[in-house]
Amino acid sequence: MNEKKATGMLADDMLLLKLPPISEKVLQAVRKQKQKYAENAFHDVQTKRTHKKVLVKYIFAAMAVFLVVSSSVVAVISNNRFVPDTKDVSSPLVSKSVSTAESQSVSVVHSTDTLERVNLRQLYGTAALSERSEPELETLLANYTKGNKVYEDERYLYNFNAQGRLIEVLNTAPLNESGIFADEQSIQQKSLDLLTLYFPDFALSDYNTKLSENKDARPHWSISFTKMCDDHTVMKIMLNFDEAGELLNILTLGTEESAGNISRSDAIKIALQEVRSGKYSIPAFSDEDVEIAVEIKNNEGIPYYIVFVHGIPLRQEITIDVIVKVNSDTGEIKEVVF
Amino acid sequence: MPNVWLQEKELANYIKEISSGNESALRQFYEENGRWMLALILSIVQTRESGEEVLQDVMMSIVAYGSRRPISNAKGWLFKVIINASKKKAKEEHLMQTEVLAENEALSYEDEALERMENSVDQIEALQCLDSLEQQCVIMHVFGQFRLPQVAEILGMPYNRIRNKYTYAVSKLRKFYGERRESV
Repeated sequence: MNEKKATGMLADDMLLLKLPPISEKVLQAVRKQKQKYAENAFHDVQTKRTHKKVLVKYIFAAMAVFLVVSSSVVAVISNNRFVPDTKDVSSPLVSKSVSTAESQSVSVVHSTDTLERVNLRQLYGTAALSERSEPELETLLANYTKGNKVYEDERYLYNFNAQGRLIEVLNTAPLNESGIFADEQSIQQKSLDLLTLYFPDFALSDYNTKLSENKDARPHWSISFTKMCDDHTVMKIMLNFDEAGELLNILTLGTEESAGNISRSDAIKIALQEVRSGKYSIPAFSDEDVEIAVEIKNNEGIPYYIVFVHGIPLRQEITIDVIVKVNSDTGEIKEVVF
Repeated sequence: MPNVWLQEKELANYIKEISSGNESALRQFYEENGRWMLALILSIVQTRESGEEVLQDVMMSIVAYGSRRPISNAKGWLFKVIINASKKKAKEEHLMQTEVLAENEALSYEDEALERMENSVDQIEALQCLDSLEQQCVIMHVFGQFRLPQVAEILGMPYNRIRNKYTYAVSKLRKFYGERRESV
């Protein structure tokens, strides 16, 4: 008997080995993968759609620029004098948030656009205004204040601030331990998909990415996207995932918007002036030493700025953070928190 | 007839399909390849219960591989997963056994070997005449379609030893099947 015959007979004998049924855990995991795969495929389509939408916006912006320029030319010709155009026509209207960065108004509403995108997915039902009580929302959400609008579908809570900007997403579904472990690449891909879905304007800008894994903690994965709004202020979006790559929540810090009569940059100046006023025992520091982020919150219908000043050098390698609340209508300092 | 010739491309497709959530691909792969995978696991771990547990862990690893991740050496990856998961389980079993034996009277070497034999690939008599390493060599070479130097690489052992083990295992199998044919 040769080698092939012997091993062939062994292969036949292998049929005698009783094979246990596939465990329910494995079957559940593969079904979950199917759901994830469908979700990712939808995100891909969604991203392409967003790009198309941006392209359309560019075309409209170009047409608007053309109209402004041509009307100025007509005005110059008809009046025979130069009319200075104060509008910045050099930058196209890429998104609503960019346009509102320059404005002083609070009335801009982004939530419709975002909800439209969220509802388009239809993976977790239609997002509608949450019926949860305020105390419950305050407990669940990290950034909930009165005046925020919270929408909910079967999986997530979407927290919109008074300006209609999405500031937080929270996974409310009970988390099961699937035994699947996500890898760095899949977390990065998923984060980019979510960023494009929820924050398309931000996704189009220049940002830095920082990914960290903490095997012994929850969240297991944290990824933050940071962009500089100007020389000193930042806007940050942080996404947290569990070990299986399930999104736990999304948190945002900072905005490019202005509210009330005081502009965002003026609020920063007022806050820094207050911190440097000598009322507090804080040594002198330069703007380059610190990282600044600005948030807009509402207090019983009155919007105010929260200026976060991170990393003021105190002593050797010791830094402190200061939070200054500035009334956005009067510029009055409401509170300084260390 | 089990899927004796596990092809690299076929396996890569299976992994891709399974990790993208194709349940029927999972069932088909399991039906075709589950037996030799279990046999390989049982050549390392001591009990059938542990073997079945490891087999499910291996299936979980395939599910979690990630459909977007490119796979260049699917067979090498799968066998590494099987061997590593089995060795880990065997270590756990050894630790548990040491704790139990410390309390009770130690089993004799013969008892231990007998228990191991009964609990391992009990349905395949032919494999029972081979030792653990011989079983691994045969399964990887026959079912995994690895050349012996590759088997040596995966198992982290010198090629000469693997070649000798395999040659010896085949002669044992020839003897076993020769005797069985004569008795029939």
